Parts: sequence; C-alpha cells; structure tokens
Amino acid sequence: MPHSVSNGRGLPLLAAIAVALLFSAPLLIGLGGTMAPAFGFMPELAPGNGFAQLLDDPRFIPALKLTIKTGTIATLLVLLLTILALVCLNRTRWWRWMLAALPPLLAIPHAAFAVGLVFLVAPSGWIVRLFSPWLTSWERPPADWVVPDAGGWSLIAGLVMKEAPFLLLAAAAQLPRLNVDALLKIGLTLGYSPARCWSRLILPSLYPRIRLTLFVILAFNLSVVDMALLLGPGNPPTLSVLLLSYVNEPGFRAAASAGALILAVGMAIFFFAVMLVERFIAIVANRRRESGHRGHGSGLFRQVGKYSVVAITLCSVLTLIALLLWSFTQRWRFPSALPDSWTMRHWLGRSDLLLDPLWATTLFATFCCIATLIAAVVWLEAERLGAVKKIDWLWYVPLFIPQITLLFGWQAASLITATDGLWLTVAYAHWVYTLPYVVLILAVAWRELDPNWNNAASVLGAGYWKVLFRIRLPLLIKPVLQAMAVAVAVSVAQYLPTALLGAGRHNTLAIEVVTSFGGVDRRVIATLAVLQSLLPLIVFSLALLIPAVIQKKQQQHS
Amino acid sequence: MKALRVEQLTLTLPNGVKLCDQLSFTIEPGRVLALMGPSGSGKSSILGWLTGTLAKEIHADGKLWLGETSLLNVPTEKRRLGLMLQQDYLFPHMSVDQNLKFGLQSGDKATRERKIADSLENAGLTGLRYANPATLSGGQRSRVSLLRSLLSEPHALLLDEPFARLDSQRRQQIREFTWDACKKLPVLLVTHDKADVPAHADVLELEDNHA
Amino acid sequence: MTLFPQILRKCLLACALFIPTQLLHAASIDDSWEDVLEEAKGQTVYFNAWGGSDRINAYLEWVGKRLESEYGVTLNHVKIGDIAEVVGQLEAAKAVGRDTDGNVDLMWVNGENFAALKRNKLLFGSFANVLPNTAFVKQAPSVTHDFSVPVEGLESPWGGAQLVFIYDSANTKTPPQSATELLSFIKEGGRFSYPAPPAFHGTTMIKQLLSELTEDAAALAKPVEEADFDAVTKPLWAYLDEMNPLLWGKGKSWSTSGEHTRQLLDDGEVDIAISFNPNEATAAVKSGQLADTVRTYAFSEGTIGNTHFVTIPYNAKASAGAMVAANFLVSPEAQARKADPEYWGDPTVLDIDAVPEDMRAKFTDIDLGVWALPLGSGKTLSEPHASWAQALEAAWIERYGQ
Repeated sequence: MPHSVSNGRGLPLLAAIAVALLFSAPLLIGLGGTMAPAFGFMPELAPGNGFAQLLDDPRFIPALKLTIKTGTIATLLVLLLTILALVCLNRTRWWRWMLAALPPLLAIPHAAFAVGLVFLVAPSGWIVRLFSPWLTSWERPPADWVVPDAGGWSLIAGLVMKEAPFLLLAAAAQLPRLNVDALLKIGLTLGYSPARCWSRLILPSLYPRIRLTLFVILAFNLSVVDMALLLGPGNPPTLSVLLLSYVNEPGFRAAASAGALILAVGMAIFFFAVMLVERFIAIVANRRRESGHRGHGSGLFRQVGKYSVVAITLCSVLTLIALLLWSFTQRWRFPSALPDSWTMRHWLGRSDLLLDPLWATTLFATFCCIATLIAAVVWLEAERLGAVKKIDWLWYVPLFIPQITLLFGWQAASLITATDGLWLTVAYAHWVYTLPYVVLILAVAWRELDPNWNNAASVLGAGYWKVLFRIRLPLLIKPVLQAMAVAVAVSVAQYLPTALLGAGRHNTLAIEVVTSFGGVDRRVIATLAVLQSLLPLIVFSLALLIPAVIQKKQQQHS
Repeated sequence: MKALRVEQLTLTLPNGVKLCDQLSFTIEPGRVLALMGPSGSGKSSILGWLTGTLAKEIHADGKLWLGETSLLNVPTEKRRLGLMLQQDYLFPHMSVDQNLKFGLQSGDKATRERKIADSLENAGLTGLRYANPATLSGGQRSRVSLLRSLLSEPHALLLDEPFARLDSQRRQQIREFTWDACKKLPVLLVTHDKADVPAHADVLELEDNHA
Repeated sequence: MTLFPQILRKCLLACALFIPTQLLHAASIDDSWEDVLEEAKGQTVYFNAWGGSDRINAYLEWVGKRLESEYGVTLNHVKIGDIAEVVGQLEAAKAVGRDTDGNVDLMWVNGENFAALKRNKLLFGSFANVLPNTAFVKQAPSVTHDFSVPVEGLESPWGGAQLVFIYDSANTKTPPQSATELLSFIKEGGRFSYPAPPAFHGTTMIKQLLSELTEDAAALAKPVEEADFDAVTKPLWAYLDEMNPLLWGKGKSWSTSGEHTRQLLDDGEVDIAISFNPNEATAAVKSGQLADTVRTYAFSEGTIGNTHFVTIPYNAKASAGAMVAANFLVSPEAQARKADPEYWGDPTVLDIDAVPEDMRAKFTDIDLGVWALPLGSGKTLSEPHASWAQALEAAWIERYGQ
C-alpha cells in the first residue's frame, strides 16, 4: 500500500500539473509564436509572406538538400558504427576500453568538440602535422581539401563522432536483457558466423529497444545549429543555420518562421519514410533469416570493423587532446607535431575572459540541475502516488521538435512581452531542454525501486517527507546524481536558447565558443572549449565518485 | 558419422584450480556419454571448450578430434557441434517455422519445406508450424529446439541439462524423443540427474572442485 | 585574486534582474553635460559590439573599468557576430512598439548599417555634437560622411580603418600590388582566400576589387539605384569567375572573417591575409599569433579606408550613460590606448595637434613595429556609397553563394 500525504492526492496532483504546465507552456507558445508569423498573423513583427520569401531565396533548396544529406548520412553512419562496435568489439578486450571512453566523449559539448575536430582534420591540422613531412613529404599544408568543406562531410564526421557514443551506450545498456551470450552460442553452434548471429538473432531484438534513441539522434542531426555553424558549409549552410540568419535579418522573420515550420513538418515526413524503410528491411531480413545460408563468415570483416571503430574512437580522443594542447600553446606552426613553444597565458593571463562566461554557465547549470531535479521528483512522486498517469511521450516532445521551430516562436513572444534578455527567461529555456533527460533517466530507477522500502519505513512511523528524503532519495543516489550530471552537461551545451532568448547578454561558454570561432585567437577558443568540456567531465566524475565514497564510509562504519 | 574424441583435457582457472585434469574420452556415433557431477565441477566449461566458446580466463590444454580431423583451430560456427542448453532459446522474433528454417542448411526450397514438415510430423508438432514460440508449452519448445539443432545437420550433439526445466510428466516423454532422434550421432549429455541418463549410455563422473 | 568580489558582483547582478527595474527618464540632448554625467551615475550601458576579437574585448573590459571608476557607469559588452542583427532587432522592437527601455544602449556601427538606422529613424539624436571630447576629433571627410551618408552627429567616431594585406616575407617575396597582380599571383599558385560576403572583410574586398576594375568609378560615390549596376560591376564578375575556383576552398568553401584568413596565413593554408586594421599584424606577432617575418602592405594605388562609429538607438534605456561612454571612447586617453598595438592598434580619429599637449606624447610614442603598415605608405580610397554594400552582397550570393 503506497504511503501518501495526509491530504491525499490533491497536493501531488497540483504540483504535477504545475510541472506539466510549466513544461508544456513554452512548447505551445513557441509553436504558436512560430506559426503566427509564418502565416502572416503578426504583420508588425513579421511582414510579408514567409513561404514566398523562403522560396525566393536561391539558397533555400540547396540548404534543404544539404540538411537532408548531412542528417541522413550522419544518422546512418551512427547506426552503422554502433552495429560495427557491437559486432566486432563486443566480447573482445577492446570492449571495456570502449565503454569507458564513451561517457566522457558523450559529456563533451558539441561546440567544443567541433572546434577540436577542425584543429584535427584541417589540411594544417594535427593529423597532417603528425605525418608531415617525414611521411607525406608535405612542407606546406596540402591544398586538396579545406575544413569545413562544401559537401558537409566535416559536419557529418562531427555528428557521427558525437552521436555514435550516445547510441552505443543506449545499446550497451540493453545488452544484459538480451541474453547475448546464449544467443551467440546457439547461433554459432548452428553454424552461423558471429556477424550473422548479430544481424539475424540479436539486432532484431535490440533495434526496437534503441529505436527511439536513434530517432532522437536523427531529429538532432537534421536540426542541429551549433555544430553546423562550426563544421558545416557556409554557402549554402544547413537549413537551421540559414533560418537562424533570417531571424536576425530585418524583415525576414516571416521567412524564418515559415522555414522553421517546414523543417518540423519535413522532419515528421522523414520519420514516416524511415518507418517505411524499416518495414522493408524487416521483410528482407526475414527472408534472409529463413534461407538458411551460412555464408563464409569472413574474419576480415570483423578485423576491419574493429579497427575502424577503434580508429574513430581514437580520433575523438585526439580531438580532445588537440584542444588541450592548443590551450597551452604559444606558437605551433605547420608541420611541427607538437607546439613549438608553450605558455600558461591563456589560462592565467586573462581571467575575466574565462571567469565571466564560466560564471554565467555555472549559474545556469546549477539552476537547471536543482530545478529539473525538483520538477522530476515532483512528477515521479505524483505518478507513484497515482495522482497522475505515466505520460512519457510528453518529455520527448522538445527532443523531436527542432530547436529553432520552438525557439523562434518563444523569442517572438519574449520580444512582445519584453522578457527577452532576462536571466530567468534563458534559465527557463535551459530547464525545458534539460528536464526530459532528467525525468527519463530518473523514471527508470524511480519506478523500479521496490515499494516495500517505503512501506518498511512507514511502518516504522516515518512520515512522507522523511521517507522521501531519508529512504527513497538515498537509495536512489546513483541515478539521482547521474541525472544531475546529465542536467549540467545538457545545460552547459545549450547554445541556441541562450543565443535567441538571451539578447546577447548571457555569454555562456557555449556562446563564447560558437561566436568567437573563426575570429578570436585559436588558442583562446581552445581554452574556452577545454573549460566548457571540463565542467560536465567534473560533474560526471563526481556523480561516479560520491556514491563510491558514501559506500566506503558505510562499510567502514559497519 | 565419425567419433568425437577428447584427449588429455586439462582446464585451469585463473586461481590455479583445475576443473578437470587429463580427461580423455571417445564417443562413437550412436553412443551417449553422460558427464555427471555436482554443480561447479566444470561440466559447462568442458562444453564451452568443445564448442569453442570457453571464457578466455580459463586456461585449456588438450586435443579434440572429430574422426581424424582436429577441431581445435576451427571456429565455433564451422565445428558443427549441435548444442542444447537448459533453456531452449527459441528466437522470439521468429515463428516455429522460421526458427527451424534458421537451423536448416540452405538449399532447394521444396526439399527444405519437406524436411521441416517431416521433422515436425515426427515430433507430433505439425499443427504448430506457424505458431509463435511464446505460445508453446515447455515440452513443445524443447522439441522444437532439438529439431532446430538436428536440422542444422551437426556431426555431434552436446546437451547441457536439457531436461532440467521440464515438469516431471513431460520429462520422460522428451527424454525418449531425444534419444530416439539422435540415434546416429555421438551425443554428450551433461546432467546432475541420474534419471536423465539412458540405459545404453556410458557415464563419466567428475569430481567436486569445491573441496 | 579578485575572483571573489567579482563573483559577488555577478551574484548581485543576477539578483537585480529579478527586481522590477526602476523607471529611468531618458536623457535629452539639450541637457547640460553636468546633468548627463549626474544622470549617468549608476546606469548600466549595454554596448552591442562585435565580439570576435579578444583584444578588442579586452580593450572594452578596460574601458568598462575606467567608466566605472570615473563616472559610476557600468559598461556591459554585448558580444555580437554581425551588427546587422542588432539593426534587425531594433526594427523588430519598433514594429512591436517597444519604444522605451530597449535592450541596446550603445552600438558599434558604420556604413550600410548606419544608413539603415538613419533611414528608419532608429537613432537617438545628434548626441555626438554635445560630447565634450568631440572637440579633439579630426574633421576628415570619412568622419563627416559615413560611406557618403551625412553623419550629422547621429553617431560619434571611434576609429579609423583601412583595407590592408598581411603576408609572410619568408614565403612570399613580392606580394601582388593590385587586383590584376593578385589574380596572376593566384594563377601562379599563390594561395588566397577572401571571406564570403556578407562577412565584412569579404564585402570590403569585393568593393576594393570593384573600385579598381570598374570603368565607371564615379558611379560608386552615388546611390546604387542611380547607377547601371550590371554595367558597372561586369568586370568584377568576370574577374571573380576566373579567380574563385583557384582560391582556398576552390570557390565552394569560404573563409569566414579577416581573422580567419590571418589564422590560415599562420597555418600556411594561404599566403596573404586580409585585415582592416593597419596595425593588426604587430599585435598578432607580439601575442604569438603570427610569425616574426610577416609584413603589412596596401595596394600601390591605395585601398579602401573608412571610419567606424558608435551610436545610441532611439529606445535606449541608459542614454545618458551611453553618451558618457561615447564621450570617453573619443577621449585622448582611450584613443591613445586604442591606437597602441599593445592593446588594439586601431588608428585614432583624433587630431593629434588638437589634443592637449601633455597627451600628445602618448600618441607619438606608440611603436607600431616593422610588422604594421608603414606610416604614410598606403593611400586611402573612399568607400562606395552605403547602398552599394547590400547590392554587391546580394549579387555575390546570387552568383557564388549556392
């Protein structure tokens, strides 16, 4: 029997409704504020026919094509890489190293990672420097490619390297439930190669479990702004970036809003198309499974797969090291493999340059961390007490609607209500974009915790709050800390909400990294990017360390 | 069919404990060798070594022959040693028919269909050909699982406590079905239950390593 | 370390945002300077200025500290990528009727953006005429006319600029001296990139090329509507058609800013960088961003130069504070520091001879270094009329931007 507050379900219901309203109001206002200008209902703010303006721009169609290309290819490669890693690395000694490398890679903000990637793969980048001139005989950087390239491949590379860890972790978390060992044993003794065992036996069960994550990634890849600004082509840019440039251009808000709607609707159509492709693949896969073909399980495939996954992971790690090196560089000219001279100046010399954005970032992250945790606990408790039903789809909404589609409208609303530029407005937006992750992470553990713990405590005379704070939260300390760490990581990485709603007044590290790229001293950007990456890394480490320390203390006492 | 022969098998745990020491046996086609012993005596590890899926921490030394061919450097999927585990592991995303077809070697479509129809009929499962495995009883699942193994045309069959999960009524029925179905193969049966061992079987007792 | 008080201040600032702001009555141009100073005390001035250079950002940090201590004005540098965005925001604000308490108090502007602000009546007024320090300003043509648009005190001059090129004398012995020579240089394997318009350095480069290549140079001084655009620009497009495929990025990828080309120069990916600051190279060499062997030059027949300004929007909340800040920005003290490559290296708009005698040495003592544009070496050409920028940008994007 669940223990409940003295006044029954009323209070939790009210609190949960407040959370749901606070969460969904900006979604509605945002959509409305984007639709109204698009359809000409805000002639003062957004004169003209947005759709016509959009079609008139010769960059629109190329930008749309580019977006579909980069988004689709990046997502396919994310899936491919995840499968390769599962098939070729699982049950090898690399697997544990891989799993250890993933969370830090995941925690690195996109913008910081993008900056590092440019340092790595440009013609004068670190990879070329490492092999020049002794191997390549290049005394000067080659002129055969540039970064960012016009085809969007740098952007694709960045998205894949950043999103593949996300999917792979989601998949790895599901493996224990799939009996992989037994399925492999059965498949192998029936004469199928390991790769075929994966493709015919394990993936069909795994895919439905990681499908939602894959769709979140697809939505992200199709609408990403910060990474596209840093790694994407400029002429034309991706659709999101083009639309962002409209919003700030006099008289183009209608076009921006219309484009944001097209992006959202296009994405929905795209999802539908992906589902059709899934059906088709399922039919083909079914046929192949029935055929009984064993093929010649080629060990070469596994070797190639293994080394490509390892190489890509290594590149990600190199990216971070490149950032770190540049932040301590005085001079580092081509083709030196390491900086020619070093300095601490970028870290120590200009404290204001680092401390101001660090402070702004920390403030938002701290707020998000606390406010989302409270909201998530309120909601999950109300759910546990039976005051509200489970509505997990709600939390996915902001992850599936392109950020620009919501934020253009929210920005329009904030202009009208004169709330743009306020700290609270920006913090609110961070909260909305962080809450889904916190609720979804916490929900698993919250729902699974044995209700008898509650009952045992209640029987001993503990009231509701005592049970919550002394029993439930301490028992769930690991997921709670993880959710808080994710909240910090998500908030630290937010670029667009801060840029659009902050009226330029809240210079977080994300803003500094993105806006200063291409202009400011590379060494300073590297320093900012390292700092931006350090925050989530520190918080994730704390989330791992604190429960371990607590456990150790308890063991000492006993 | 050829005999399955193990020579001088020694399995050593990382802590130095030997799961088996200098174990040798031969199983002729049509014979059943029952490997008996309490849990932890290394029965499953021996099966793992035979199929080539032994955990890497365990050090193995010994020889494995099928007829005159050494199987040691052959990857699991090429050894063609059929395996039945305690759980039947029917693939949940496939029907009974698809599970069997997955086991069946590729080839002419009509022949394959007939083989499946025949084997289902022999097992008394004809009506369940297109059923979802989740709707089958334990005994039915167990039979389908064995059929799937046999249809892959293994050179020997390894059974790891195959009857342990069945209720006692069904158990005898499935035992008979199993011994009848693998008459022509060398069969290795791992069990801790004497009742599982058929009358015509040879028995090899393993020592308890916990001591 | 001053870390703690700073955090405290930020804390208070964050809290202050939750408190309804007190109503401030806007300063008027007719107020006496003493009244303006009085009113400015305690105000926070949001200065929207390009934030793409950490040296400039650092300079503005210094300005903020000086304003705080001297006048009690808090300067908040709002770092933006392109001031055109702010023009758009002001138009939006006007459209929704937000005529007071605007977000922007002071903005860094010139050329077509100033023209747009003036045309749409988004400016505070002729405040520059009442700033005491305006007395020291050298009344050059580029100060009274911003890209041929009369300034009329609506903006206050801040610094001078000229298009210059930076090259590494260790790699390039004879850098090209004209548009034509530049093309041959590239054809012979020289590496070059100009930022894609509407990036500011890109647009300026296009204007430079146009003014050299066109057969009707007189048309550029007048509004673009009065000219036969296609005829005037025809040689430019022919030139670019030939040059673009040979550039860094093969005419498909573009550098994003002058600073980007400077980085590419240091990486060896290009041979010549574009700058709008004759002293930028000195600053860059001293901070370790460029090699000691770089030199700066302008084309032998001269390059485009202009003046950049600060102005106050019509709906500024802290207009008094903004006027005090604008006045400080043209003070001999602030201008001398700005002209020093140690800090920024932006040429002054003051007439050194008009500056009080004790301040003159601050200007004459500045060591520009061998890396900067040698004094008196680059002839300055005037900017085309403000309306040309947008027309050229649109035409460039139409041709090469997709």
